[in-house]
Amino acid sequence: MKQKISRRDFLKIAASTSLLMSNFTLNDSIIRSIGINNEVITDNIIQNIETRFSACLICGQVCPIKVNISPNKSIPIVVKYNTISEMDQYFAACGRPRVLFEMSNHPDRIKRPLIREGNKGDGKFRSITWDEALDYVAENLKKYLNKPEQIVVFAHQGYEAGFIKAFFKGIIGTPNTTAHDDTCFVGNAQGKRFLFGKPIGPGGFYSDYLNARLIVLMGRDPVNGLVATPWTKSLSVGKSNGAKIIVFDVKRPRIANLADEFILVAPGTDLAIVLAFMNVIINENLYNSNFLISYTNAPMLIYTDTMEPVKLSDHPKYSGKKTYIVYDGYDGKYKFKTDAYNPQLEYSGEYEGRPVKTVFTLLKESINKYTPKWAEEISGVPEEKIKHVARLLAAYAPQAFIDHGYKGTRYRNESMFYRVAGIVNALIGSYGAKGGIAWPRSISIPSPLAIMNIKTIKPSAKSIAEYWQEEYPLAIDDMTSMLFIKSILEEKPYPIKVGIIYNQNLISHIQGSNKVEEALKKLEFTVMFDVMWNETASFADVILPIPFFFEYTPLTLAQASKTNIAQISLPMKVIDPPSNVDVRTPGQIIYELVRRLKPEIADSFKIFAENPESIQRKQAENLKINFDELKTKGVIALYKEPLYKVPVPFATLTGEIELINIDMLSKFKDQLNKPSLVNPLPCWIPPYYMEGSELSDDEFVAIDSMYPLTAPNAYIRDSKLINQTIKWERMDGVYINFDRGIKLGLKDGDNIIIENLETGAKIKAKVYLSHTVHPYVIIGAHGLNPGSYERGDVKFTYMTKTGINTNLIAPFRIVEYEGRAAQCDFRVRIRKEVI
Amino acid sequence: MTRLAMIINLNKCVRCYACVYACIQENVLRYGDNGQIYYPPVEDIIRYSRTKPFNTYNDDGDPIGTILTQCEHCDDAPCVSVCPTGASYITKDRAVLVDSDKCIQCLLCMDACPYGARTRLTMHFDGKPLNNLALKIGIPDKCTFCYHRKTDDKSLWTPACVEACAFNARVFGDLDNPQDPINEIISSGNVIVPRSDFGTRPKVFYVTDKPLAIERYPVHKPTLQQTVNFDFWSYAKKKIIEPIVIAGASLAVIFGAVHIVREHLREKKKKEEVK
Repeated sequence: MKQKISRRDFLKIAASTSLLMSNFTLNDSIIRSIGINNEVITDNIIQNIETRFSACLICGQVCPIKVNISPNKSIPIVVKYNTISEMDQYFAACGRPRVLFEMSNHPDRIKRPLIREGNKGDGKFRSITWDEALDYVAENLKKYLNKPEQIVVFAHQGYEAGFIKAFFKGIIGTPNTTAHDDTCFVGNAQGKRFLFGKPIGPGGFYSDYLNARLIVLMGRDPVNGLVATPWTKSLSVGKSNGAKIIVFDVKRPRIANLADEFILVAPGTDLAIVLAFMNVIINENLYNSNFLISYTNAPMLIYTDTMEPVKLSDHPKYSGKKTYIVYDGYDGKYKFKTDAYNPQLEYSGEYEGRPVKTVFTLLKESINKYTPKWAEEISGVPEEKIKHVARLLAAYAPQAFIDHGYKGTRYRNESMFYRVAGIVNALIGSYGAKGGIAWPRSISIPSPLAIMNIKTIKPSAKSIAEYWQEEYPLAIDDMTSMLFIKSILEEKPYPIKVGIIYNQNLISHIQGSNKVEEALKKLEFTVMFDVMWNETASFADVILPIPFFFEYTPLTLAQASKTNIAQISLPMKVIDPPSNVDVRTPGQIIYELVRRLKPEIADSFKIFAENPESIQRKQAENLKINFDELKTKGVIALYKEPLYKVPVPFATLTGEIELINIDMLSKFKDQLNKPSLVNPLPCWIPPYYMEGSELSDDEFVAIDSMYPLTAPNAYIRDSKLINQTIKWERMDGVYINFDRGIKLGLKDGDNIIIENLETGAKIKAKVYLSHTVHPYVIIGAHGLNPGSYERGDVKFTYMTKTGINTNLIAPFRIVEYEGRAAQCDFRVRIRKEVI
Repeated sequence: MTRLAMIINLNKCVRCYACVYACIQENVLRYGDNGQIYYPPVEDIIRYSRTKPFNTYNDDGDPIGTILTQCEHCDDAPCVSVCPTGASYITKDRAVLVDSDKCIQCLLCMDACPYGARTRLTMHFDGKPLNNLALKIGIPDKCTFCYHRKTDDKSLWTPACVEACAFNARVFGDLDNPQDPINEIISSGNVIVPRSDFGTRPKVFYVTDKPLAIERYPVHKPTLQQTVNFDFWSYAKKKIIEPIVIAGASLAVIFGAVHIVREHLREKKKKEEVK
């Protein structure tokens, strides 16, 4: 009889056999690891089989990109810039989106909804389900549906920032929504307000680097600056076509590598230099008379006893605008400008027995004291250099300009700087010229709510912006994040209870983080929408994780932010979020909130959750864009080039570029002859840090600069590759002047404590010494220091933490009249860290 | 005949690092089957990019400008001349490559290169590279003009760095093809040959209005540590601890199996005896 194998025996034999076989494999590994030195790689597995389109949102400039993907998970996505070959000079993407392949599985990604544990600010959270999270958010929002003004919304980055704001405004009914612009460019926009009648941000102009012969950069670096890579492309092309570049800065910037000249300048003193430019150009008769007469109110006659225009009348051509009295040099008579043959720029006389002067004459008189010698004493830039650059600007005009700039919230006097720089550009006739300051082409993409005909309400309560405009008359609606903080702290005009934070890093981006922290702790309930941990996360009650921009199809088309030719991109989902990540799109979240808060209109919101592409298609149809063509190309441009003409009428009273703004003259006449931001005449205003004594040996002005490998407060700071690059570039610290550093006993690589004596706030940083840094300054790339805000579950695995973020140590100070930040306008003391 | 070459226009380069990241992604990093990314265990991965920017300085120590450096694919490559095994060689289209099968890691090529273009990584890391000319542990590494992208002898390809550059700062082409755009740039007279005094007939040229930056070409010959980049714990883990653990586990398995079989036979014998 055949012996049967028992089950026990069978199991023993099977186990032994398996173990023996796997043992051979293990031994093979031993042999390979010890014995063989050279790797043998035979695979060449690059196969990108599909291209998808998107628009990069890392820094918010929305550059069109294309992404190659493969179903083989061992092949990473490869990002390239998308372009239209005939207009390639207007398209680019920087190095940052090249590292997006790192981000999906990043260890600091928020993988599921979270609810706070412990106290606000501890940074401890636990996971909850989406239903729990949304129920909790809805429950807290419901309390304020009849007082929606007590809900504030901070929304900035992301395709749907506008949609989020529109939802909370038009459906929930709060008038209080804001972006982050008052801590970004608002000073720049305010300067332009005086010339053009309304605040215009950096996207409202196009400095035509492509065709320029001379580019003067002051506090602006289109190469080192973080944004607007298409502008960088134009500059790169213009440079290679022979444009001269002159750079003024507090530290040698990267653009200096391409520039013809780099000039070191004291912080906050660019205003002195441009006042001196005005002085030279006007006194040496280097201005463009034709341009001034045709496009500005330079010939306008003003009563000098009351500082009012002599007479205004309805403009015959521009509805709603006024023409004004000038002195006609043709026949020596006073006439309305529209009737005059030869309006005089310079004139003083009497009109009906009262003394009168032209705007141009008043300007000339106001800047007489701002000589190049005077400017040298303030800025440190030699008098002859100032004269030389002013003359060069005039010589190369109209293909010359002072760059219209970007960041405008560094110093108190920044708005006056941009105003005067704008006047200089007008004096030399750069506006509207090819190679000068042109106007970008852009269109307005209909909002998702509008395109779907969803009925919205007009909030009835007075907004925070309106309330504070009594104290800050130039504060701009939707650009009031600092005033929101003030309102939360002071409970004016009413107590604020709920904060919605959408893709914004308030702690990091608002000047005076300690006050921001106080405000966030005061809020009854805070919801944060974001992708990765940031410094603000510790203060949220609920965190709702959303996908990276390339992991979903958004419910809108995208327009390149610094568009020259109205580049419209079709962002689409490139890859799915990883399977261990449970995120929802903004459209899905809003739909779920509507279901809970306003179920009667929920059906109309379903499309935002389920079919975002249909909204993109409707937007395309509305704009008469072929959607299917857009799907195959990823981007189209609606124009071939920017606008090379002066697009009168402007929003000023006269419709012209107003060198003295008449509306501001009537409102702020009492500020004439004062060092005031709203002095209707250009004037010198010292930065805050210059008020008081000289800097002592260990005192510096704290400055952070933009840097092209980070984007303020956004996740790319935490990329492993980028942080290794930051170390390679020695941008992982702060820079001070070499001689001052030696005097303080410092050397490269030392750790220092940077302290604001006013607030007591301090951070630790690594220091480098350099000969090309102004002696007043301690400067580093913005945002590379989380201070004490890496805590609890909030972590930044790869982020550089030894740089600077001035907001963490700055005083919470709102600039007078304008309601914005001055983030680099304060003193700090430094000392070597003693271990 | 084909003679591969590249021009880098430093007037257009804005040092955005797109080319560096493209190179690292394609030729240095390794990847797992489920989308994992494996980085070399170094703090200066940029060093191992086959193209990277350096600052150049004048005699006063003041910066002049940026220069992007990489292997020059010299026509008279000294790294090829010194190679005892022919591992470093010149292809028929005049790219300089390394055949890792033949390389005995003598490192003479690293010393011979006057431009300091070669790097070497000896620390192990996991994952699979994307192509067969990617960085290999222990083998002197350098730019290959992304030769793995070549599909046939008739057509040129686009190296990853050229493809990545949105500023058109790089041009890759064939010097022996008069119609190739690279020759139009060369014949414009604006092109500078870096360190022609080295006498190696390099084929990566520059356009710049700061010729002093090219004169001060940053030759960064790797240090001994960068060449050997010996990390004791990485070595110990790979070469000592791991093998001991695996060997120990193997022995345990073998002895365990032997013991199970012996016990089984003993039991069987006992049963038969009882019967």
